[in-house]
Amino acid sequence: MSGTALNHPLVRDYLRDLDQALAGLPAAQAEELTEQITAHLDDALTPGAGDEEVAAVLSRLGRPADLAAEAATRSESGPSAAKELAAVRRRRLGWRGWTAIVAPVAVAAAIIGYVLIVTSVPPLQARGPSSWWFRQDAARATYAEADGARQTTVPVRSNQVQGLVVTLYNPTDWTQTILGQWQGSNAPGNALRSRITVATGPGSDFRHLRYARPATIPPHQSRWVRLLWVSNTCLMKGGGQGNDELRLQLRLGWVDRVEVIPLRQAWFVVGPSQGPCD
Amino acid sequence: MPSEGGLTELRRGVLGPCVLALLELRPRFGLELVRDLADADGLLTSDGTVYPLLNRLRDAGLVTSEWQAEEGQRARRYYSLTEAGQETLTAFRAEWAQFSATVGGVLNHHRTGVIAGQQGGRQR
Repeated sequence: MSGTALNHPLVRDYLRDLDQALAGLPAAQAEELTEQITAHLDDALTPGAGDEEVAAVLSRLGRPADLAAEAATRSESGPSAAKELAAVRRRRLGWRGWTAIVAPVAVAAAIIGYVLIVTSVPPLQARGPSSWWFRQDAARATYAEADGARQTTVPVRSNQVQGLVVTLYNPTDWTQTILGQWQGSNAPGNALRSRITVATGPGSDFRHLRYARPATIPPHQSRWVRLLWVSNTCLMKGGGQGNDELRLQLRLGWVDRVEVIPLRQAWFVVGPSQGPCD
Repeated sequence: MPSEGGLTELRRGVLGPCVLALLELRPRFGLELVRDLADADGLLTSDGTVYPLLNRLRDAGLVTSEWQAEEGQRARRYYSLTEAGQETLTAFRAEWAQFSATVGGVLNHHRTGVIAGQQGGRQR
């Protein structure tokens, strides 16, 4: 692991520039590319790499603006299924526009009623199995319970990817689409950035399912939801940082809403963290 | 002579099938793929462009990715070929063989038929 190489000033400047260059992309796409580039640098740079080596690796990687432009072509082209879906949505819009002209009052009433119904349905529930994502964390996890509150804890692995998976159940008659996290990160090891994705289908072997976002949880079904982050929290020995809820942005039908989902236990990483704490 | 811009477009066009071909042999993580592509001289203009490409291939269902962590090592995202990716690669190989033979024939004036006939006509 070359955590010190990722802390090199040239690398930090590069990742900051990349962050700015990717600002125009969808958040999930930008997060994914940043994660890939960070992992690339972590693999490519030797621990304690000097200015010359770091500059050479960054030069081969390409300018952040060029990477953002390349990634933007993905957003523009998109999969054909997405284009077809967009075409269907455009046709629906046309129908709704026509209806609005003929009967504006009826449409307004219908929309208000629809929103009221959708926003009043119960949120997703943490129900079923959960685990630390990586086997090495799962093997070292400890579990504790006091006063009815449960907690699982693993040692922090600084500058490495850690994660957890929980099962979320949709108790409603509506398909719920997870769009992302609300107000930043839900991760115990990184207060600013983490990536949440949802298994695209049912299955018990959670490490071999495909995860994506946005992704749906059909009515009265459960899906694995995965949260990954690069642990960068600064912890002294015995100190910990954790979270016992997920704050998610979801879409029900045409309505977006925020759900705060209590987890069945608190998830903690504990120190000491490795490397310097800035 | 093709312009540098033209060559860049050509590289972009063939990079996807080259990535699929490497993944056909075995799953690889990002830096592995980048290094293997860089070994093919002139194919890669910059290392970073591989990642948006991988994401496009995954969105199209041609590759899939999975996190793997060996004990004591950093977890890495490994990319592998899907069944659809294998079919696409097989189809591209067949088309490429025909296409490159056609282009090579035209560029080297070895092609028989219309072009060779026209040259013969001018010589007479």
